[in-house]
Amino acid sequence: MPVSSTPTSFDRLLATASTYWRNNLPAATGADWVIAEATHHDFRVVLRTLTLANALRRVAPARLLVLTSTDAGSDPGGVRRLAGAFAATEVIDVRRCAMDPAGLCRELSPLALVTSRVDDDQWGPAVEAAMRARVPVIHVRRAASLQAYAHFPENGTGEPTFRAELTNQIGAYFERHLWPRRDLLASSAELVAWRTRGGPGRPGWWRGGGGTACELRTAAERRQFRRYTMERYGFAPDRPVVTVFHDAASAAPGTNRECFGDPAEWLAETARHAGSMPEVNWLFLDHPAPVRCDSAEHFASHAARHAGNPALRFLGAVELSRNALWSVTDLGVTVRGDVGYELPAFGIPVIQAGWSEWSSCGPATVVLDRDAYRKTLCASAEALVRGEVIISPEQVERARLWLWLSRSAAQVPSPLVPAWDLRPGDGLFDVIEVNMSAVESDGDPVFAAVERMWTGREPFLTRFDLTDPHALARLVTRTREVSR
Amino acid sequence: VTAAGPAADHLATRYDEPDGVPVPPAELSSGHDPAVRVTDGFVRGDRKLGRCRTSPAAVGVKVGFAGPLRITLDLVLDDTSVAWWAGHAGVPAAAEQAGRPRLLLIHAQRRFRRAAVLRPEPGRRAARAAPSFELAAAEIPADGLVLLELWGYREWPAAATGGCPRDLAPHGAVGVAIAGLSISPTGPSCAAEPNVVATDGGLLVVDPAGDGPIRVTLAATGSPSRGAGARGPCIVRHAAGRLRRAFWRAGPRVRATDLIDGGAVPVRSRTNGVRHEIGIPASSHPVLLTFAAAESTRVIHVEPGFSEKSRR
Repeated sequence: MPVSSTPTSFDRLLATASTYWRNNLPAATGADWVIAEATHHDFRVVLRTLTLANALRRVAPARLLVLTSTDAGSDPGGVRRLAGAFAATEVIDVRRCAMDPAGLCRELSPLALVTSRVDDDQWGPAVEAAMRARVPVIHVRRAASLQAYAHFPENGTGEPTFRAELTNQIGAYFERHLWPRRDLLASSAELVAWRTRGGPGRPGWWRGGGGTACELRTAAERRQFRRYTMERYGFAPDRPVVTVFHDAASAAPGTNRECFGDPAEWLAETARHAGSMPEVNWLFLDHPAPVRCDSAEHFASHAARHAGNPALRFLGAVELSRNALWSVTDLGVTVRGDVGYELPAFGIPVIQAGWSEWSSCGPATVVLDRDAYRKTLCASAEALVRGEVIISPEQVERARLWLWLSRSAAQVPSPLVPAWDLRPGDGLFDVIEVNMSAVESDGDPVFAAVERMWTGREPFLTRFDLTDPHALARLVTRTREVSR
Repeated sequence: VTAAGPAADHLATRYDEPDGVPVPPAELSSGHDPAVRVTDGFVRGDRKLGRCRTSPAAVGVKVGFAGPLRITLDLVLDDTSVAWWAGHAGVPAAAEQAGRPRLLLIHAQRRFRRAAVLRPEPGRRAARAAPSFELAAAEIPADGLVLLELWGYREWPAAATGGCPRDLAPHGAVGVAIAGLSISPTGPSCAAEPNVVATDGGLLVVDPAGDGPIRVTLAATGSPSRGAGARGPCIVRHAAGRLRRAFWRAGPRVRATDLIDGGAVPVRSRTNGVRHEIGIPASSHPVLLTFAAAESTRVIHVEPGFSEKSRR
């Protein structure tokens, strides 16, 4: 896990962290447990999970059980030592344990399950077992600072999966507390949109290299740039472009409430529909991490099957700059990817064949069964051919408000969790070590935020109390307010 | 209609700053100049505009001037270009192909303007070219965005249908740097001289003046060594030429291909003593001259002529 560290740097961090948590955690004298999953290969994810688990133990004193794994890329030895420094009571390698994570959740009936994974084939069942056992589940996200979604049993809406539950709960929160205050939040949402457009975004976040920012700022610039892109990639210049964003076809089977069995089936059916609609250009864009997410090479096989059809192009995720991609895409199609809000925030409509955390907030057109998917896809393509605009100003506004929520208000910055861009290695270890030893812990934003989420039974961590209009008015950026 | 794109201006945000645009005459020499607004396959530089990462690549600059403009690019092909190219091509053949000349087609506002040939010379000083062209006032949109495109010839769609010199490097733009860009109000037109380059595939007439026909004169000589410093301002040694002896009696059977649209160009050819002249009609497009099959190993020299007007 500590990928490029001298022993001393990581060791110093461990020593300081041991002292920090010895002084900052209440004694866990009862029988309660918190279970934390620490199998991710990336130190930053494990750091976020353990930090959140400890913040929770300040509110609800408990022993900490950390689950590791010997999966490729992860370093159970490093995790074990880090967990020790974060005052874990037990560290178990799940591959050597007689009981699987789902069994542990049922057996221990912990105060909470804190996990960075909610829908792979091992942790999906564990999360659902915890939900059935009325154990709160906290999903730590790979985010710039600390971001987490939470499901509490008393908030349940009867959906079978974590994602489906969160879709409902986040949508309800958004509708009740944020959408009515959109005018107050507009300036801040605009600032986040400005930063998102000029930055690598997600999933562009994974891309690295050049060409990750959208530099286009106006419709006129986009039109001009588009004509070049259309020729460069050989699209019929007078026809709209529908971009299909390939998703993790091999990972996460059956855990989303999709209208398809899995993303592979969705891709196959989408390619079939595309083959029968040559009046638009179809751009199939591969997942940014095909090796990990499409080991069965579904994408490549569809590309081969449609090689003779000039209306269908299959390209790798990094073959187009974001300028090029955004200049030609007239409609995005995804099963649940981040493009579901990222494109609508800039006026490009998206059809989403399933649910994701933001989909009830309204940025994309969500279809819930195959028939609706086919009809919506056809109708949208035909409308584009007629030159119609198929996204509403409200969808754009909702997408930008979600951008604000997911990138700003629902992320908690703290000295304990340096920004994601600081990559694992001596630099990151030193920053955490210095912050733990030099900054006093009282009122740390992570402790305050976890306490607010836990006691308020809220569906996600918040930077401050978003349900309080006075707090919103005081704390959000309002440097470009306009009256309407 | 269909390219209307997002409704209204949903790409814009309230935090967008007004464009910082240079009023010509202006020299852009940094990729971080705010006038360099949008790029594709191009890595911005600190002390140069930047370097092409892909072929084609595009750079959009904003100009604050409504009148006609002259734009001149300073193109550089150096050792770094060749290294980038090898990394991009990523195949064993790269080493052999990396030394081949690059034919670049420079477009602005979606129209071809100028071609340039750059030949890598590893370990030696960089090859440079300064293609220059005019933009009419009507070609500059209200927001002042001038979109320049650099196409390596092999990536240009017509290359698949028309003639393609065999020894041109693929991925032609990769690694090529734009050291600077000069933007000036149009002054007196500096007459461009046509540039003739010999390749394995024939003769490239790279940058026709565009304002009249061109005469290319071929002359026979006995040995390659005598070519250096021979007469004429623009002597090109056609080292790999394999033209028949009969060439000089019957005249070469020459085929001319427009490299932009792939179409055939009607040429006239005439033998004049020991010289042979090929007349190319006025064209703003680069032209490839290829010669009918030739078995002789005789090396000849090629002396490009000039348009009737400027013939010396």
